[in-house]
Amino acid sequence: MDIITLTTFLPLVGAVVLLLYSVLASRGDQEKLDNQYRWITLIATTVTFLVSLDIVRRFDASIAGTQLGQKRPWIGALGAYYFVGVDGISLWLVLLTTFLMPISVLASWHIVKRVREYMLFMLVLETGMIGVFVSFDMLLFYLFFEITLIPMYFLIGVWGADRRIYAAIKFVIYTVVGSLLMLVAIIAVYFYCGNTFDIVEITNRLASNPALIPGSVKFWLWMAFALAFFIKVPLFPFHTWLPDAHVEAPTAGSIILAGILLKIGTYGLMRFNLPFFPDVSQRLAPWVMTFAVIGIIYGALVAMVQPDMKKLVAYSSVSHLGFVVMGIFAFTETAMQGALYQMLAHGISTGALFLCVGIIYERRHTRLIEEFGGIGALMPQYSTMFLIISLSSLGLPLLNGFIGEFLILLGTFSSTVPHAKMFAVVGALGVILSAVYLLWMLQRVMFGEITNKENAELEDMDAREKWALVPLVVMAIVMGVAPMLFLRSSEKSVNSVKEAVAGKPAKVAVSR
Amino acid sequence: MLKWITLAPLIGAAINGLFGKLITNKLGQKAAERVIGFIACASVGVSTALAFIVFFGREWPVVNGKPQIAEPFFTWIKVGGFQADFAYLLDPLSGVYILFVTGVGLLIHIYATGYMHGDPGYYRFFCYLNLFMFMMLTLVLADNLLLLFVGWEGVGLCSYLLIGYYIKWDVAGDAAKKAFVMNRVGDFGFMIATFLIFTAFGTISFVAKGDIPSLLEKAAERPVEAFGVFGVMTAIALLLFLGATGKSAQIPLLTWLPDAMAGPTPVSALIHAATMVTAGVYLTARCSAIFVKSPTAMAVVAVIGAATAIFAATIGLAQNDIKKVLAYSTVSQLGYMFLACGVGAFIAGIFHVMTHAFFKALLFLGSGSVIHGMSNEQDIRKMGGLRKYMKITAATMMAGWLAISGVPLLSGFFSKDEILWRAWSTDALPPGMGKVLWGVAALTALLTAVYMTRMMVLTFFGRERFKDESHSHAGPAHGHSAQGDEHGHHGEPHESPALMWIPLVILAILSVVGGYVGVSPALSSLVGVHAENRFEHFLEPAIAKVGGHEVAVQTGAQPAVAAQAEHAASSAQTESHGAAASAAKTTAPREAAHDTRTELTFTIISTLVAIIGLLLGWLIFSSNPLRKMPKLLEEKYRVDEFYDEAIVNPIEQTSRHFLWQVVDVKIIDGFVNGVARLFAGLAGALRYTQTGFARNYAAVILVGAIIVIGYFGYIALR
Amino acid sequence: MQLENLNLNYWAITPEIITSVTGVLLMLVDAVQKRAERKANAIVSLIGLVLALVAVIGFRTPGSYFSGMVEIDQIRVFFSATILIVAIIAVLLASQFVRDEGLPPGEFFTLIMFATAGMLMLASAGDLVMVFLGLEIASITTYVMAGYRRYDLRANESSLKYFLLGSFATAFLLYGMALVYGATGTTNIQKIGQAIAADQVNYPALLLVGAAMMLVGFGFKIASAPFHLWTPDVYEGAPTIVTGFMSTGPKAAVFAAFLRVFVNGFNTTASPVGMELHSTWINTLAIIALITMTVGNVIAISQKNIKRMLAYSSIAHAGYALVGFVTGEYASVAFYMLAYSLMTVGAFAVIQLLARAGDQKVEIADYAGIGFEAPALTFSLSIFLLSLAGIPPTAGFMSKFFVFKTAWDSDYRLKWLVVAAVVNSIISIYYYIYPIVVMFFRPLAPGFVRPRVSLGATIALILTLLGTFYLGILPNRLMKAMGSGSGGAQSSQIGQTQVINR
Repeated sequence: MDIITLTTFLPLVGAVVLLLYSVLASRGDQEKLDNQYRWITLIATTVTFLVSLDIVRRFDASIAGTQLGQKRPWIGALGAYYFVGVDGISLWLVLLTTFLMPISVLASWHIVKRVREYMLFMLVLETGMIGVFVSFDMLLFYLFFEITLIPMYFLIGVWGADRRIYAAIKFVIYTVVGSLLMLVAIIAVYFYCGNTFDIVEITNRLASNPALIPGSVKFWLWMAFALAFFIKVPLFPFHTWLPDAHVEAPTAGSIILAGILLKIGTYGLMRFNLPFFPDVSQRLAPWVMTFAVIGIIYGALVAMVQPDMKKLVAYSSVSHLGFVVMGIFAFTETAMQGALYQMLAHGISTGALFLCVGIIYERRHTRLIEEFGGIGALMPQYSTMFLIISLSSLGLPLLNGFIGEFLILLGTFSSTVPHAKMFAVVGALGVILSAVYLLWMLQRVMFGEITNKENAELEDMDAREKWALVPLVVMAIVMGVAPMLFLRSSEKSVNSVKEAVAGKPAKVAVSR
Repeated sequence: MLKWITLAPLIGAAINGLFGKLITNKLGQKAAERVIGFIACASVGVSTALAFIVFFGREWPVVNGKPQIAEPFFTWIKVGGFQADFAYLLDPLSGVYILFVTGVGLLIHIYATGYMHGDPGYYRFFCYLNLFMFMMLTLVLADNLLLLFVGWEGVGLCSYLLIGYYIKWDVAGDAAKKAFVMNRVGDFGFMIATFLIFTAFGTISFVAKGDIPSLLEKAAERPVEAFGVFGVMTAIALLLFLGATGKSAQIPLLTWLPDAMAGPTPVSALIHAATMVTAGVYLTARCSAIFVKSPTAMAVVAVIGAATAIFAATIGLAQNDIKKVLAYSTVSQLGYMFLACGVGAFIAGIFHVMTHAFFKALLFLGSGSVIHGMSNEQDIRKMGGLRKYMKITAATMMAGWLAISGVPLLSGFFSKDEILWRAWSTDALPPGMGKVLWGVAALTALLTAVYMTRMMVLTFFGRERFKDESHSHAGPAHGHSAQGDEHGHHGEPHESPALMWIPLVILAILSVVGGYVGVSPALSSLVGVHAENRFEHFLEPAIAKVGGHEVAVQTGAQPAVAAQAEHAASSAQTESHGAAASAAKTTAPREAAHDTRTELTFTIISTLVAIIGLLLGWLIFSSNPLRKMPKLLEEKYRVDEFYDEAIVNPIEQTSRHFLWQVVDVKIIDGFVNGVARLFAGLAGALRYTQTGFARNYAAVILVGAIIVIGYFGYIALR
Repeated sequence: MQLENLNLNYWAITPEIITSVTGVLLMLVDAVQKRAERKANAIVSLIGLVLALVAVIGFRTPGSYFSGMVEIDQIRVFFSATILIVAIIAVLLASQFVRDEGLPPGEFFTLIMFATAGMLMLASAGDLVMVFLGLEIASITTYVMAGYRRYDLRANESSLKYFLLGSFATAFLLYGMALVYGATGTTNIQKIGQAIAADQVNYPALLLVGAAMMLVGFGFKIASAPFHLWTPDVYEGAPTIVTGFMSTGPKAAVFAAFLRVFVNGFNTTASPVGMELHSTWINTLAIIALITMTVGNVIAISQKNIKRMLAYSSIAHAGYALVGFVTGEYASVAFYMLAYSLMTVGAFAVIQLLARAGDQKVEIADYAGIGFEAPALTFSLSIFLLSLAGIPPTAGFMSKFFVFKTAWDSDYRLKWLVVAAVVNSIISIYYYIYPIVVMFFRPLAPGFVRPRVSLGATIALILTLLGTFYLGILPNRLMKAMGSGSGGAQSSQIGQTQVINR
């Protein structure tokens, strides 16, 4: 079995093990059982992470196309293959997923309601997410794309907060609206491109013969794909599901949602819209950018006035992913590399932010900023990490957030897309605003005397919370100081996408 | 070598940051303070030593006419055509900077070990302070614009951390945030400027990398954009200057600096007087090659500088918090420096940066010593007659006072005089402008002398007003009450420990003699020595000269000068290409003759201004120290209030009451829920087809059947 | 009618024979055995059905037998298989049903058997007469089954409605057959096709009107709008197990006959009349498909009773299946009906268990918070519902995808229909996830007793679940098998060649 398949299905194996164990395990002390479930899940996710490290080791940065994967017939009758692999774009997203999962498990340690089911959903979800990033067959991609939906739906709906039902349904409906239309587009592309779901194949065929799909149709197909991904990202004005989902989801849910699931959208844009429909993408780039920029500013402004920390972070995601979309549609290597990097950085920082919010939520069972104040003196270590993470999120140099934002803005500024310079300048304003809302929150949470009696004896982080948070902080710093570690391996693939859009067909070879 | 200058403090910061808590718990406050203090000072000491060794040590290699040491570290970002390395550049400009940054920095570190004595967050404080040194030195030694930006943001961060150091004190939190955000506004300009530079020159490096020339060389090749022409160079220059205004608290981004005084006094001395706030000047000087190509930008810089100078000086007149007075004085002096840059006297600006570092650091530390001695009293109205309680502090501070007032033969005199004269004699600006600016600057000088005198009088002379009532602890007292209690020998003021006054003495000496490195030829000629300005000569290769006459031509001035135009132009070219010395010689003799005389007369004028200022201040305030000051000045022209009303609140209100609660909730969600409700309604309606009566169903089926059959029949019989 | 070889091959009708015989046998068993032990019925019927299934799969030699009365082809094989699987599951559930309800077991199993026999006839009918015969047998038995809970008024009402309206529709069907016979002079479907192709149609109008009437008749049986109105009431009233049975088996069977008549019979475009007929029924069915799924999905949103909701869902699914139907590719329809039957019968199975004797708990609200009280049942139900909603990796998704793909590829410009179907699926998501919301996200409603699940029911659930996932993840073998008869083949061919290329 190839390393990719292994990584993808290890969590599922873990789920099966967990299920069998729970069936075989002697009934009795529920407490003990739950703890064992937690450990099984933690081990499963950690092992998956370690295995996925091997992907990095074997990854050959000099190849633009897919590698380390395999392609074998799956549903011949439908022309669908089991075709998995990684390229420079998906590589780090897979790693991000496997890296965030153990942390999410640690973050859900306090969950006491239906631990077994919770952990099962987590594991299934991980397989789904990894699958999305490694699939190079459209049908397979769609399969995993949808599979991620249900576990998250349950995580929000069962383990969420008060308005969880509304949030869960909203989340599902929004996503499905997008994805089903994408399904039609997938079918259409299949037939237009000579009956294949093979993404690489299609990319090449369309690159060598753009006329495969008639122009008028192209636009609608682009729209179908784009809608699915814009909703997932979410791009303004499709973003309103996000705050609700985030606020209601349990901490781990938010981490995964912001850290990974949103990236599926931006990833999809890079994987489908750009290479498949370069001309349409170019034609619509100014429009997309307009919305992206609106998202940047809008998200930041709305985040600024949120009374609820999670909502604040949620809206900040809208702003940050606006940057990503802008970078993707700038069609310059700098911007697209930046966009990819921003995806990773946002995964780390925002994941950590939600973790931080979760940590005090567990103590006080409120996320309202006004409830806090003066935490800094009580929980120094926690506050320091929270500070570092906020700084990374607001793009302070030497922390991960800066690299992406800077490259995106620089790349956009030097892009040939109409009005790109203007977009970059307006986007840069977002950098100011991010400082405003994050520091304002920090100030209201950290500084001052302890106003609220209930905060009087808050404990600083315990070992588990440190184990969850410290790796993220370390990553934030590493990514800020040594970005080339990551950018080097994505360079080729990003370039090939850029070339595809630029019109110069870059033949993408499959190496197995 | 260079990298270690920057890394040494970082290591110190790391040690104190990671293990400070541990050390404190293990050894207990007292012993821990010694260890932590030692680590902090030692790390800075190392980089100071290294800085001096590198600077005075071996001969610097000369790269196309410029003496400089370039040292790569590692590749930081390299994407597409864009590259930004962790690489260091030591040239005269950064050389001067590292010397006084490390030197002053070290002194302040030592001072702080005494000042922060007993503070529970001792290790945290020195961790931040060391981190700051790292960032500041990175900023100075950066060999490219982005790494400079790293330091630039880094010092901003440290300033944020240190302003907000007294974490329990709301005012500190506000001030910290304000400082960071205002700096961010400036950074916005900086970033866009970086983009423009990269798109225009294809590089952001200050040193030539292989066959790629440095951005400065690229800039030098550009033609000058005539006054009023808004070309790319002008755009870049102005955006960079926007960044500078943020960092150096110039109009319009000046209000954060006075608030920043909420930080511990050593911080105010180091960051908000001596080093960080002068980063803006550094940036301007570093990019002088760009600025000189845009008379427009130069004019803006000069005007903003002068305006800020006088604006802040007037406010300084009416402040009663000793640190606030010094803060506004700092803003005002920074204005001077920008004025200097604006009139093309970048070197004079840097010169003032250096001397200012000496005497302003001195004054702040002195004020700290006073506050310390008065157990956290900062209101000069509640002081007076302190000189006989804290002799050293008083003596040293007087040195600083006279220096900043520009009393001849003290450091401040040389630099300030230089600036005034260059303002008058500038040819970088449209004719006449320089004269006006000179007037403003002179007036500022007068005011400076006045308000400094006021401060000194109220603090050290006259009646001992602190005896009047048991003074309530002002500001930070709440913040570091721990420290307050530690030193709270209420009643008698007292001199500070040696750890604190020794740095004062050293700085006092520097403030007195520091100016002699940059004596202008004119002055030295008085004592018969015909030496050129050593400081200027040293810095010349690193700074671009203004091709002044060109401007005159392009703005259509008298043809007489036009003759020299292309020559000046070419000289400007060659100089910026590096053959500095030769070009200087060709121009020097012609101008020297008449200049010297006028320059001297102006020296006399500025001297008089200083003296008058001092006397005026003395006369007004020694008689009636508590004289009421104009309200508008005391309220700082209500700038903050204006910003709140005009910018902050509107944005917040729209965001909350329109964007969020209307666009998001009402419009977008409203639409979505509307669609959902539509289907629900439709479903409800259609349900009524379900009557439950078989006959109705039969009827419907019949109708349907008829339609279908009818359709088929129609097709058949058509 | 000229003389030709009768081609009497009893293997061809073995499944029908087996099921009928088993039916008779059951009555005897029931007569001899004591009231106490009911196992025998179930076991005997299971054996019968399995044997029948084996027979169906065993004898696949294509051709028409008994002078064209029986047609053995792909349709016959796959639909018969579907029908038998449904029957098996029904039997597995039945024993617990009759026990819990205290109803006479023997007759129930007998009815299932005869119904199955009828449906098998439908699926293999090569002649209009056979179609009618099979339809009547299947229908009448199901009328009775619907009212099997004698004491229950709802059941009686449902049975009566079903009977009345059913006969009403059958009349249309019969008339149509008569007219078609009149027009073509034969009741043999193949011959009808040939007659049309050869343009030997006496009165084209007769043919078309006849076809239209048959279309109405079939349309009623598959519960397509506007002939669907009976469905909710009948489905709601009938005992849940019966609902599950008759919403799947007969529907599949009728689809088989419907396909054979229209796709095999009325598909020729050789003659002008044939072309007219062809385009007309396709247009009509396309529109009916659209209306059907829309009506089904939209009304389902507002249902409080889960059986009614599933009734509307089954209407909607008839609509989706019709999308495949109009492409003339039977494979997608066959696969769709199999998938649909599995998940629907599975869903009803769970409901029957949750609802307990006498269908007390069939309001969705009754299931509040039971999610984790009876995880096995509720998660199974969730999976069936999500499958019905078309969420991968389930049979529901694959079958929809298969149909959409086929329709998109077909030359009848049905792309708009596909888009409409997709929009419908979006709407459907809402009501399919609603029960999940209630079961898992709401607090537990008082007075819930964990239902007892018999061995048979357990097996039934496992079978349906496995089937749902198998078809959802690895449908290839089945699709290939179906494809190797009709247009579905083409795509699989490409699959092959690609493998070679790689």
